[in-house]
This record gives sequence, C-alpha cells and structure tokens, in this order.
Amino acid sequence: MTITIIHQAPAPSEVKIRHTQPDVTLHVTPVSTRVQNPGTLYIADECLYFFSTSSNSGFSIPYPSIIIHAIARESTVGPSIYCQLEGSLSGTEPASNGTKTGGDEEEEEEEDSVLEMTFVPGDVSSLDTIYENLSYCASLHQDENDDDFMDEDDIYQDDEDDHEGLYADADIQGGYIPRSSSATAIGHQADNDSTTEVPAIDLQSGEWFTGNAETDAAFELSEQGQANLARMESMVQDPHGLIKNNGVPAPEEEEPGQDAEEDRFKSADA
Amino acid sequence: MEQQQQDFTSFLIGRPVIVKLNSGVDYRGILACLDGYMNIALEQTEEYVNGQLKNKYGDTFIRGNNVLYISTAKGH
Repeated sequence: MTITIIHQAPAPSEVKIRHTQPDVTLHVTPVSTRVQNPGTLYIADECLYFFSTSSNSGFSIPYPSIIIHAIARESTVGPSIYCQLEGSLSGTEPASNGTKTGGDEEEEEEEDSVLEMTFVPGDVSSLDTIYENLSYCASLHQDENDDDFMDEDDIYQDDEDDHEGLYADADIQGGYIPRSSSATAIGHQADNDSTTEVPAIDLQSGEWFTGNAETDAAFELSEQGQANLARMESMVQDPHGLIKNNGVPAPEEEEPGQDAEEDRFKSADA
Repeated sequence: MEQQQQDFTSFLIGRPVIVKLNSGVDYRGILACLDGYMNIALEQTEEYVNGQLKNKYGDTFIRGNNVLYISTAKGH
C-alpha cells in the first residue's frame, strides 16, 4: 500500500487503463527529485501511474493511499488535479542498494507523513474526466483490513458479553427487540421475568421510548426512577410550576426556597 | 436503522456539510454524494486547517476511511 517507483510504463495488457492523460506536469510537496516532468498520467483500475518517458521512470500510487483528490481550478500552478496521499516518495525505491539503514521507526514515520501531488494537465478541459475516473477507480478499492473501519457485521454483532453499545442487540433487519440484557444496557434493572412482556420497539419506523404509558409501564422503574419520572412529567406539563390544582394558576408563593435556606443556616449556626 | 441512515444521507445531499478527517482537517462544501463506505464527494469545497481556510477546490472526493465525521453546516 505504498507508492512504488516504476521504470516501465503500465502496459494495457497487464492493467485495465481507463484514462491516459499525456503532457502532465507534476508538483509534489515535499519536493522530490524523483519526479521527472512532464509525464503521462495513467488511471487504471489497479493503480494510478505517473510515468515520464524522457527519464523512463515514474511511480505507481495505490488508490487506498489517496486521502482526497480534487479539482483545483484556482491553484497557483494552474487548473489541476490535487491529491493528498499517505506516504512519501523518499523511501519508495525497492531495497536494491545494499544495506537498508532505515529501521521500523522510520517506516512508521513515513506512513504518517502526508504527500501532496498536483497534476497539471496541458489540456485543461481534461480535469473533469481525470477526476471522474479517479473517483471511479478509488471506489473500486475499499479497505478490507482497516482497523478503523468496522463492517456492519461487526457493529451489529450479538455479543453477549458486550452491551455497552446502544445497538448491542439491535438487529438491522428485524428492528429492535429489547431483552433482559439490552434493557440492562439502557439503564433499567429489569427482572428476567418481566422482560417477556416488553413489547418490541421497531427502530425502522422511527419509534423509541415514546412516553407511551402502555409501553413504558412494562419497564420496572426503581423508586428513585419513578420519582424522577413523576418530576419530569410534571415539568413537561407545568414547566413553570404555575398550575397547582385543577388547572388554576397558583398564586406567587413567598420564595419558600429562600426560607428553607435560611432555616438551614440557622440550624447550622445553632 | 438502514432506512434511517438512508434518510439522513438523502437529507444531506445538496446541503452544505462539514467533513472532518482523522487528520483534523475540515472540508466544507456541498455534499454531492455519500456512499456506504463514507466516501464523500463535495462541490465548492473549502479546506480548513486549524480553522483557517487553506485551499479551495471544485469537486472533491474524500476517501471514506479517513473521515471522522460528517455534519451539516449552517452557512457556506
């Protein structure tokens, strides 16, 4: 998955070339002496190639190393295709020059380094074609062993020992069916017996904990939980505490909170 | 789940979004395309490094495995 120096132009018999763009000037940051201009850009299904026939050298770029590619019409070097890559051009020569001085540390550093390439085609009208082909070929190469990327099987896996995730027991096709373990994960201390009554909640139709009495009644709340729920419900219905009984606004009370505080101070002083 | 994800995706198409990469660089642009691998195509893209505008691109293709998150942007 690194940039490789090549000494032969890619052959159509070996790779499937989708687009060939001659007369391309390449600017690389950080600057590398390995770049010989001008060259030809080959967009193949397998790799992206830049090859200069005058020096008979170039390099191949694997698509997964391209972080972004873009059309840069307002670039300082002229309308161009900009690529940001993982890797570097310094250590790309196959180890043919005897001793390999660089240790593993150096290689790791190289993996973290970012390389910028700006391809300036002589024919400016080719920018869109180059971009489209690059995008298509990039999408052909999805990472198979990328630690950062979890496929759906991993995310929605039913792992009995791991209920940290909200969707630990969610079935992507069958909707969300809370069981005793998932109810625990959400924060309820549910009895195993009571969970059979828990109705299934269908995520696909956008349902969740709805405040529906029938649904929520099936969850057993602790005393504290019930008290919290009652308090929250009263806040929703009567956010400012204006309604006391029978929907009649309550008269302003004489700041009972302050009195209580004073009482506390008094008892503390005593 | 899948349905909601698709709804969110189609909701975002054509809207200004902010895409943050693992490297910390932000890309702001109009979302043209988003696939299941989080590969993202933006139009009228602005590249922000440490909050500062560094570059402007037309169409931009961002490889999904570099994407930390995508969010809607209020203005563009």
